[in-house]
Amino acid sequence: MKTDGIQAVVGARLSRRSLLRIGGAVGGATVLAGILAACGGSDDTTTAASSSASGTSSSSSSGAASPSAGGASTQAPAGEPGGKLIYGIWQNPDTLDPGVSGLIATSKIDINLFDTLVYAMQETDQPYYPGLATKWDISPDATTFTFTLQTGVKFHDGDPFNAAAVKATFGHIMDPASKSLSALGSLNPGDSYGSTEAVDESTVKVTFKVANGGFLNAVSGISLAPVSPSSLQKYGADVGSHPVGTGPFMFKEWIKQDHVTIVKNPDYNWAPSPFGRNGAAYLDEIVFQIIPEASTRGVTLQNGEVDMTEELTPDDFNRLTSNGDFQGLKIKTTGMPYDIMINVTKAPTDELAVRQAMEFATDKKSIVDTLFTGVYEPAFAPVDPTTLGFDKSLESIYTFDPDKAKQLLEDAGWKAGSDGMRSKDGKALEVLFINLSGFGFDGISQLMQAQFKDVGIKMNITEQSFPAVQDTLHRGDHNLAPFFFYAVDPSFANSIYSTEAISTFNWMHYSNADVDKMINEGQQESDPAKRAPIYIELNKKIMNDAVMIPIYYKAVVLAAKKSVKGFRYTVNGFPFFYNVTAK
Amino acid sequence: MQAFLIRRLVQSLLTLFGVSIVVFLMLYFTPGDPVTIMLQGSNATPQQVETLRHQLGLDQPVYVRYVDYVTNALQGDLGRSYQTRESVLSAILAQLPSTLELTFAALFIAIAIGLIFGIIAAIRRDTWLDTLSMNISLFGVSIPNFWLGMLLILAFSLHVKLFPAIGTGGIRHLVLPAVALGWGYAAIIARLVRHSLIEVLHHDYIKTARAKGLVEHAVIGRHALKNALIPVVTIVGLQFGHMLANAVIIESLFARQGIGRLIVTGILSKDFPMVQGVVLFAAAGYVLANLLVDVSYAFLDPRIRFS
Repeated sequence: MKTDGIQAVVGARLSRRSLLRIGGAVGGATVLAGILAACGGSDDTTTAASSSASGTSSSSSSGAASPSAGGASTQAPAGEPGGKLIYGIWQNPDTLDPGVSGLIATSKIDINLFDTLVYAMQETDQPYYPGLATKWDISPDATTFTFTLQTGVKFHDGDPFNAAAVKATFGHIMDPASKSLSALGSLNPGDSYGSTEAVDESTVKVTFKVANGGFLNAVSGISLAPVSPSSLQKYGADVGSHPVGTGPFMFKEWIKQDHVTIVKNPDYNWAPSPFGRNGAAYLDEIVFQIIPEASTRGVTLQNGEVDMTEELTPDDFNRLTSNGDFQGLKIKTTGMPYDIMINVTKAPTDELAVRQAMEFATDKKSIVDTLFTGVYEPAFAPVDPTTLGFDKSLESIYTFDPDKAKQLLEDAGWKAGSDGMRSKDGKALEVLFINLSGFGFDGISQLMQAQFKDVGIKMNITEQSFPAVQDTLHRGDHNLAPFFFYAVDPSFANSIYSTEAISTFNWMHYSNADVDKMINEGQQESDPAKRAPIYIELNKKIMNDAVMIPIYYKAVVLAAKKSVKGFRYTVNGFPFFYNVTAK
Repeated sequence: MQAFLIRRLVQSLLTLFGVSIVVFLMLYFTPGDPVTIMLQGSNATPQQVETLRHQLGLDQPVYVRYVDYVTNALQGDLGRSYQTRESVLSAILAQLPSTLELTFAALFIAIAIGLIFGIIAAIRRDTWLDTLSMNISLFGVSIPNFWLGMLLILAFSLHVKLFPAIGTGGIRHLVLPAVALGWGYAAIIARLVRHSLIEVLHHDYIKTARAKGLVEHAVIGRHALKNALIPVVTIVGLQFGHMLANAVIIESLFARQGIGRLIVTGILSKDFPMVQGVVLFAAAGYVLANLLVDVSYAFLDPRIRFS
């Protein structure tokens, strides 16, 4: 199998309401819970513009390379430099080692401690920018990636950054003793990783056994960020509590279950060009205060205990950001929207007409308005709009049209009885939604139940909790199951729609030779401009086969004091603090 | 007394041993595979899954794993967390002081408020003071502690900025979570004290005390209360264990450090070593509290003999 750069998923976004979600979940979650992590880049953002930049991916791009070294710094700070910022973060990091973690919380902190070889950011006109690598060259078969590295860069512990450091980092990820999560998925999708060779001090070559078209995306993600080789030696298994990178901030302390503090790296002088300047970060210190409960996060922003926070309840978000005291930031992110997976092997959802009828019968706008008071956007495509493979045309395949739904069912022989509920050959039209309590679908499932009833489909809902639900869904006891997925590269499709993923996340139990073939093709290609049409086609097929119902597009939702300014974001929506000021 | 203590200690150890078996088996039989959870999103191949399973010893039969676990635990090694890779023992020891601080503070509040309300209600029985105390206490029993916690945060962290809503360390950070956790128990203690005190006040020796002209506070304080407290002590011992459990919710609500936070994360990720470690510690706390309760009977009521 070959997949690539999924950056992961694990963790959980529990949160919003129940106290039990509290924790930080874990692993797996993906699903629902998900998290994911890793960040990284992806082509997305700018698929449109990417064609112009496609040179970047296949033969070397150099260029902007050396980050405006020295004096060219231009952009003025948005506010007054200096001072401390307190960020109320919802999840406790599992480790701060980017090469091991699977959690979003870790990624959010680490993108400020580490630089990546390649940068992919939102609101830029190229998909990739030089980071620690000044240029890269990709072999036509997408198996060999050669990076030319910046010179003069130092890790926070004084170690020089060079080819050996990249090799050591990748070696650390591949070492079974590290028990790597997201990074292993990025570096070694489907066991495709070959080797990393330090050609000379500033040239490193990464070779794969099979094509890995998503790898540039993967190295733009935090999970493959170079780590100080000395720190790996010195701390061994505890390197996760002593992260040492090259980034604009340095690790200071981590009081478990309480906070992580990072401080400005005064020597930082290798910022990637999209930041528009160089030199040290503006903030002296950032405290990531861990606050698991959403309502508590809202209060702490309001009473000034934190300067910014995330994952507020929609009510708190609207209340706090509408009165003018706080700013609300809704940042695009990548992957699969909140959606419902439809099991295509269990009656009656093994019938295409039934699945399509459900697509037409779902009123997403009303769901979003009712439950999230407009914080999120209703989804009609199977990927978030910033993900490569998104296309406007996908959004018009199904709209809310209950009459059409009824017609489809009627034509398929599902006739309405006197109570309006349908049946065929004496068998009632009844579907089972297996919900994961507390993972964000409780309200959605109930509203869908009412909407389906309007067209004559009876929907039963049962509740299970994570992780037990995984077994149930693998068995296929359900007709419908909740899902969402954070991933920066569209090759995540391999983990979701491919035949081989039936043992992991393909809870649709969907197996289609055309789909498997398209997934494979996407994998072979590294040029974003050529990959986009492949994934658009794939997504069309997914929608036409009606194997999932998109509900709403994910977004990273932050709220901050008005004085906090200067954000830039990773492609999947995590804030870089390099240019941020808080006064 | 000595023989009694030894017997109780042995019983306590047996209890802990039982707890360890139950927890181990519970995790074993709960659906969901820790290795799959750990590797989710990493596109692991079946070999990678097998390697990790082997590394964690999960390919061994359950009894082998249990024996290994107990052998290591007896040597002070509770294993490493699957999720964070840190030593379970050091993770627990790092978080334990904060949980104990919260639990003891909550216990103090429960006892102080419970005694005051209970005594007032008993000696002013059937007056408005009695009704008021008992209604406040009914409210305390009925209200979920996380909701009370939210109300306290809104009232005293947001509207009147008296205390911080979050964080660990120092008395200011402790007041709100301790009240949120302790209030419900205060209510139970108050009702128990009232009931018990009223009963004692009917006894002959109280009449005797009054008849010989003792002032009322001496009657209540020296004679009645001491006897009325025996059932209360039992309850307080049991409450300590409950509080450890409820601290899970309060710690998350107030973003405090504590072992409760470890177990929530641990359960969701099927982090066997972490869950086992925390449960063992909590069980030990419970058992210890009960042991202390038994011993304290000797001082409260010399009629109870440890033979």
